[in-house]
Formats: sequence, C-alpha cells, structure tokens
Amino acid sequence: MKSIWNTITEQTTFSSLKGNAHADVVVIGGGITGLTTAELLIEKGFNVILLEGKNICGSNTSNSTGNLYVTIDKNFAEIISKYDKKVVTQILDARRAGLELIQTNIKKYSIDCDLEIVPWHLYAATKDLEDKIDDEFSTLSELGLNVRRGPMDNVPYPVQSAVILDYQMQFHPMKYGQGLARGIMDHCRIYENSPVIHIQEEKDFSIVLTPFGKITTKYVVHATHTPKGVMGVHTLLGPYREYGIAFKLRNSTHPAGIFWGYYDEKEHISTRRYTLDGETYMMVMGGAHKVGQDSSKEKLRFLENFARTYFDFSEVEYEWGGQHYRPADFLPYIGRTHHETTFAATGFSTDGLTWGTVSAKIICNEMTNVVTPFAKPFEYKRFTPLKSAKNFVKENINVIGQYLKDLPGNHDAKTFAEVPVNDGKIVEADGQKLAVHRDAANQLHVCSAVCTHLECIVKWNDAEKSWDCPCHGSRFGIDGDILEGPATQNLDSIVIEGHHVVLKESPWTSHPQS
Amino acid sequence: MDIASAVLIALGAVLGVLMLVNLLKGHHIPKALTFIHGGLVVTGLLLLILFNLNFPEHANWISVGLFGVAALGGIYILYHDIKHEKVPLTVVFIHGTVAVSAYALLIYRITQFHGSA
Repeated sequence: MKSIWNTITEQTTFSSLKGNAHADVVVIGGGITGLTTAELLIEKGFNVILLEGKNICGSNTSNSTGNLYVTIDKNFAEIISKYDKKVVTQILDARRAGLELIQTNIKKYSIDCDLEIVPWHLYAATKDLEDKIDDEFSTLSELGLNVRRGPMDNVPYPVQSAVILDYQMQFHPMKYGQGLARGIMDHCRIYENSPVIHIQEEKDFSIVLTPFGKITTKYVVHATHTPKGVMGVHTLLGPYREYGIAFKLRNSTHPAGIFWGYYDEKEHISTRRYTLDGETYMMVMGGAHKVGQDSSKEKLRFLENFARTYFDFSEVEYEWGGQHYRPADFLPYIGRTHHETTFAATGFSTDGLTWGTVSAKIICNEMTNVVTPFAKPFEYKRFTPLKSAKNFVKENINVIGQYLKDLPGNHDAKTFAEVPVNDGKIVEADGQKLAVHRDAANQLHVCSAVCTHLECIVKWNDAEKSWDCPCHGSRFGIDGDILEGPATQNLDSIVIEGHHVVLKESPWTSHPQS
Repeated sequence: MDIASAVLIALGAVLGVLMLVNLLKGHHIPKALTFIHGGLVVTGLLLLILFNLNFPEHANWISVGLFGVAALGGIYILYHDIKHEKVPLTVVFIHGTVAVSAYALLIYRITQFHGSA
C-alpha cells in the first residue's frame, strides 16, 4: 500500500546516525512537525539534529490528505459548547498562523508543492444531519469567518445542506516536506533510519540513543505524532487509523476544494481531487477506527464501494492508511513537558498538517522564551478534568478492555499451520503469545505479540500487513520492527528451543552501540 | 464479610501463583491475570477493612497493614512489568511473603473469631 503522495521520484536521502554527537536540540521525527520545528530553531541559531526513524515525511505526513484549513475536524459548534469564544478565537488565530508559516516556507525555499487556494466545504448527505451544518454555519459566522451556504454544484454525491469557506489551501505534503528538508539540510544535521530507542533525561540535558549512535543534547522535541516512551499524555489520547484511496477519474471531473461529508453520526468522508501527470485523480478518505480494533481491508472496501457509487473509474491505484490521535479535551497538547528541557506536540486529530506547523511555532517560541499569543489553550501540561473526563474515561476503559483480553488461552490459532498465506494470527505456543504472519511465499514471520510500550497484545492489520497495538497505537512490521507510535523497542524476537519458545530482545534495542 | 474477604484474596493468590510461574519461566505475564489478581485482592482488602470497622473488637489491622505493604510491592512490580522491563525478583519474593504472612494471620483470626462465636 502506498499513498498518492509517495509517487514522487526525487526524494531526499540522508545517512543514519553512527557514533556520538552533541547538539543544542534533537528533534525526533522527520514529518511536517519536526522539519518545521528544525527550520525555526536553526533560524534562531540553535545547533539542531533531526532524527527520523524511517524516511523524511515517509510516515503520517505522506499519508495525509494535503488539506490545509483554519477549521478543525471536531466542528466549532461542538468546541464552542466546551470552550469560551476567546479560546475558539485562539484556535483560529493559531491555525491562520500555521497556514501563513507554510506559505512563507514555500516562498522562502521555493518549494514546488502544487499549492492551490481552494474553498473548504462541509456538507450533510442526509436530511437528518442538516442541523449540524446549520449549527456550524451559525458558529463560524459568529466567529467572524466569511462563510456562505451551498449549493455545491457538480459533485456526484448527495448534498442536502452545505457550508463553504473560501481561501483555504491544498498542497502536496510530501513535496512540501522534502522541499523543507532540502532547504534546511545545509544548516541542520538530518539522519534517516535512525529510530530513537531510549531517551535518558537528566536535570538539564538528555541523552538520546539510536541503534548505532548517541546524542547529548540540551533540548529534545518529540515531533513523532505521539511522544516516544511512557508518558501520562498517552492516557489522554485515542489512537485512530483512517484510510485513503485514489483513482483516475474517467469521463468526469470534480470541482477543486476540500470536501467533508457527514454520512451518518459516525461516518465522515473526505474527498478531494489532485492532478498527477496530467490526469485527474480523486481521493476518498474515511473509515476511521481505533488502531488494532477493526479490519483495515473492510474499511478500504467501504471507501471503494462509496467511490464506485458516485464516480466513474477503472481501478483504485493508491490505497493507504494514516494514524491520528484524538485529544481528550479536543485540543492538541503542545509545548514543554514535565521535563524542563523536553518538548512535545500531539493530539492533532485529523488536522495534523496545520497543527504540526502551529506546534513548531509554539515550541520554538517557548524554547526561546517568546510568548505566543494563541498558545495558552494548547499547553502540554494543562489540566482540564471536566473537559477531558468523557473521552478520558471512554478511551481508558477501552484500554482496560484490551488488557482483559490478554488471558491464557485467548488466541486466534493454536498452531502455525492454521495461519493462512498472506494473513497474520496470534498463536499461543508454550504459554507465549506469538504474532505469526505467513507471507505470500509461504514463509513464516514470528515474533512476540506483546507490545513493548505497555504490554498489550498486538492485532493483525490485514490491509497494511502490520501488527498494531490496540491500546496506545504502536505499530510494528511483520518482523516486529517499529513503524510508529509510542513504543521505542521492536517486538521481541523468538527462538524455538526444542518444545520451548524463548523470547529474545532485539540486540540493538536492548544494548545500543554507541 | 471476613470469610468473603479471605475467599477473594485466596482466588487472587491463585492467580498470583500463575503469574509467578510465568515470570520464573521468563514468559510474558498475561495482563488479564494481573488486573484480575489486583481487582480480587483489593476487593478482599476493602471487605476486610469494612469488617474491621464493623467489628472493632475483632479488628485485624495487622493483616490490613501487611496486605497494604504487599499492595505497594504489587504496584511496584506492575510499574516495571507493564513497561516491558525486567521484574525485580526480590520485590516479587517480598510481595509474596508479606501477602502470605498477612493471609495466614487473617485465617488464624477468622478461625479464632468464628470458633468463639
């Protein structure tokens, strides 16, 4: 599976970190948040090292929609019921500042990333959801946004009611990120394939370990979508996956813009068009579910069925999944963590491209003791029990439910032979829960099924072929290598000695060479 | 109430033994066992506290105190185990020994109380 953004041929490559190094700041994560943070910090004169576990923008930035807007996926009518008008204004100010920073960077580094100014549309597909659109129109109008009501012409799907906001943006997120990386690479040490496996926090500095290197640094920035390691903020986040498909339109077109549709209370579908090599492609995104708690294949089929109902196309050419973390009180957590020299940004929900950019600005300002006028509602260490209670309880009861499934004898299959080709199952052998995948060549890939973050049992992701943790969203490859999430260690590998299964920690994760 | 407490704690102890076997084999400790073990003994302990408050003349606060110490050890063990770290066996040993001592005292006091009733 790969996204339509991963089709670009000219991608940057950087070596991995080997040996010891020193820096003022280590930015962990080479997506839009990490790159923008690094860019702002080197402008301020900091000596910055950026560490990316895989490839620059190869994870969630390249699995995003490429939509940039001042609104947020949790509609403002709902936000304003929890927060006062001042906070909502600060949200809008923050997101406007994020969009401006993206435009500034595009000009500054001459990044050709297909930026377009487009309208944003929110519509209800059914009559019974029209109230939501009415409420959102009223709220956005009250907030001073120049919104207008539909009609939405030339779209093939049903629209009962719509609200439209002009002058929003779309771009190619991978081209933007790659352009930013090229722009800063002469002033910032960037390392790819350098996952962080441990962070040792001392009083006023930290030591960041990668498999083959060690960095001593004053500041650490977690720009990894969710912070690495075990942190209290993980209890305030719900990890979700969402999917996208792209296909070439045949004998039809679609207006430019960002289109968010309510199809029922839970199902939201986002559509946009994109021109690739002179052909008009349509993207359909949706099917959100808790990580590791639903079939990704079924979600992709759902999106394809939706697309086939309303669009004329031959085949789906691109399929992908992206992860997002929903914050308990609806707002992202950005800034200084409980460790004085560690910063983090998380809880972007599905609005990560803009929030990631906003985070960079807030973190850079906080590190340099500059006040950001709109930063207060997003304070990382804020305590909002009343606003967070409902989602906190919901998400953590769900986590406890996942733990309670980890009973002896609760497994998908009893033997390796029961694992079909191209499938993965949890097999219990010698009292151990094993994550077993049989690939297309009939080769077995076996590792421990115990997530190295907080010991939940991982689940097979049938479309993306990965092991996903249903508790806090860590994801691992078929051989247990970390793909994303808070875990810093690969799944334990196993050795079969006679009738016994012996767990072996990956040597580089337990004893990094430095 | 004190008998119900003893039964719940005994059930919790059985799960504790299962967890110990997994630990000594170098296996993952199933988290359902951990949380059910904790839930049973905490409920048992609360019942014992209620019993002590209702029957102050037969109160067994020493068992409560010892179970409290064992519980702190259990939280410490869980803190390490859930973070995928090596569980300190010394603490496991102390946790088990203190809990068994508390339980033996509880049974002794129950037999005394119900024998004299």
